[in-house]
Amino acid sequence: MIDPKISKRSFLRLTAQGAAILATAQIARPNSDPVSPKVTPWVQPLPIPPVAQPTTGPLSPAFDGTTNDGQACQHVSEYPPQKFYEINVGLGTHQFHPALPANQPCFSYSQPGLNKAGIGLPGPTFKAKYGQPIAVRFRNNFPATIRGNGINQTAIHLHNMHSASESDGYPLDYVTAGHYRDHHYSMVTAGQTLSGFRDSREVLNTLWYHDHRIDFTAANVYQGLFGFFLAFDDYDNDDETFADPTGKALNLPSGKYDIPMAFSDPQFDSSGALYWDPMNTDGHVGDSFAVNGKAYPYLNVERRKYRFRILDLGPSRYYELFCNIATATDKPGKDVPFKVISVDGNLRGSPIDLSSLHMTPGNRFDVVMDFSQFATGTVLYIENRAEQMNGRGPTGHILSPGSGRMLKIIVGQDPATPDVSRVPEVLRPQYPALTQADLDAAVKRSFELSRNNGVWTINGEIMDPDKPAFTTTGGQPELWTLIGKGGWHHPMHTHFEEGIVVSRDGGPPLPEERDQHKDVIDVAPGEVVRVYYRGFRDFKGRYVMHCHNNVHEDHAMMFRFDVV
Amino acid sequence: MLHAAAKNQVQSIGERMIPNVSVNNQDGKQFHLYDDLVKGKIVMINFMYAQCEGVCPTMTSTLVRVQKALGKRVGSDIFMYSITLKPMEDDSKALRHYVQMHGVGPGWQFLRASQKDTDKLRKSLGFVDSQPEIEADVTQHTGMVRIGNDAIDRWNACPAILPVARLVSAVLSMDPANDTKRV
Repeated sequence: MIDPKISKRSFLRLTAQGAAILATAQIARPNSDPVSPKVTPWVQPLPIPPVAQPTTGPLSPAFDGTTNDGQACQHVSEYPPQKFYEINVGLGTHQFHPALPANQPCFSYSQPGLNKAGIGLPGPTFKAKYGQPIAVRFRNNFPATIRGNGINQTAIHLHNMHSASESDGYPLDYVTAGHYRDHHYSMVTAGQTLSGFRDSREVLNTLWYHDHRIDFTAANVYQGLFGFFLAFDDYDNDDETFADPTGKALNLPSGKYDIPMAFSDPQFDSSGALYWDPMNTDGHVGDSFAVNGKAYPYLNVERRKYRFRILDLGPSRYYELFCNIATATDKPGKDVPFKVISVDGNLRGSPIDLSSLHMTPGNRFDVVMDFSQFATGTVLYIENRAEQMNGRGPTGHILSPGSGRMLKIIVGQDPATPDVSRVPEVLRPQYPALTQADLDAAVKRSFELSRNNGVWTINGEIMDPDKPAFTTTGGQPELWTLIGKGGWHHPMHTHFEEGIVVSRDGGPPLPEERDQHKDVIDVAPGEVVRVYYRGFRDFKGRYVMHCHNNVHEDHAMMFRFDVV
Repeated sequence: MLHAAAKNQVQSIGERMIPNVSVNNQDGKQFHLYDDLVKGKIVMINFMYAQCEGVCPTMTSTLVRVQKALGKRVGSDIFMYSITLKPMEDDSKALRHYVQMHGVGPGWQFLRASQKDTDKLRKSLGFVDSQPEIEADVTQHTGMVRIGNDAIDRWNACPAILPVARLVSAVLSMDPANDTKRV
């Protein structure tokens, strides 16, 4: 039975102050799945994915301003690509842990010459810059036929990018084996094609690309089709040492001190092979934890500031992440708060300290951790203390400190050169807070999230790729009411434009959500969440909104909407 | 351990997950579900019961249209199965009547197992709910269609109320002959 009072997120917030604590170090899991072999944690370093490299010349055959399946790229003549990339999508090999079997088949994004060091996943990390459009050729290099979970067909979604419909990875725009598809990323901010200028308030930073093939997203991503995409501009400029005469540069930790981390929960069978249950329509909850595809890794850090870009890779796992200082005997000690600078790829107006990071599948938090405050030899753990038994989402119980250790951080020596990075109190200009007049002027829609006869539904409907649930006119603000029916959490993800949580059950949003652009918004059981959109700007065409519990999404908990 | 691991590798997902229970079709003919009806085949499997007044009639009529759209492939390399959730109520005669009433064509069989095996089948195919009162309500297990190709271990499930074209496309996506072309 679900106690609505317990399942509400407010409970999660209270537990830190000492509400019901479930003292178990075990990860709760369903009873029918296999149990992963026990592995020794903290024996392998956290891998850092390689940086994607552009081609040295034009693509061959040349990029022709279309996606190569008959769709013209919108605004491509105003924003012609300045760099070209090629990504191969296909089979790779991977090892999650030295004690688990090597050379296990996985799905992989790769580039020639990269991903050679036994890293089948994640894919290479893109580093792109606003004002520098790019085109990416995704080649489906899968064999003509594959056996096993997932499918050898791929649609690539650059999660939260302000992409034209044809380059957004619409779930039916998939590429079959032996073919390629070109995506054009114009690197414009929302509204730029209308106003003609880049709006700093709409600049995005931590994004990720992943498979979105209809019906098979969860299995394809789980097996490896994901990677980071980092966008930069004059403020967040990937150079902590830059002495900016204009004073714009934030000098956030950069280079090797800027680390993307994809958190996931793989399940292994008794032979150590990655396990996926294709008969499960509820959600995948694995009994192991991995970061960037390695189970229980460690990270050696210098005594200085780091930027961690933390992604909840899903497909169904919620996190309540804490950072805990271990005692000399490796017991849990004091928690340290996270200094959050960015939420879902949006730099905040100013940093906010959070005692824990509440994450749904698809969410990102960028945090800056200053390890100079710790003595050399200090050990910290990133711990997930959210209890979750199944695809319903977190139970609301917060596990005790020391539970759910995912990543070990070992503090080393002072850096060879002094740390010049900063965390300025003013990060990025923000929009003024929404007013009642803004809300009044918005088009209102409501969406009831439910489950009927074993089918996930939105307003009683399921994904119909040939029929939009609604159409919206470019730039028209919208106010959506998301209503959670039944006993499930649904992390709702809107493509193309971001939402701002206006209220939760009539009350205020979470502190980190206030006036904050977000692309995955959690709706708890029984909860009513109002979300404002500034409008669907610049591009026209088909987009989707869906549950980012990818198992729900793959069973048609998604709708198409059209921007006209 | 090694032996178990080696055995796992040769076992298909279907063989491992779908109980090979005894079932009878609407003509009273007996089969072993996995060995005779699923092994090596592209299959669509759903649950229903003849007296269902909820979503079953709509679902069956949608699946009849899917069957027509798939044409001669149904019964040749694509096989459709509907398993009654109420085997005590739905005897062969009731299922035969249901087949005739809905204009179900050849290649689509209606199956009944013992009540115990029915529950086992339902759970193993993923027609379950983690909320006990919903789990106990048979009408709640009638909305999805399990789709798979045992030969290549490709499995999926779709709501039976999807548009017919989408369901047909989901079934054709199970066929490796379509792996290099859009369906």
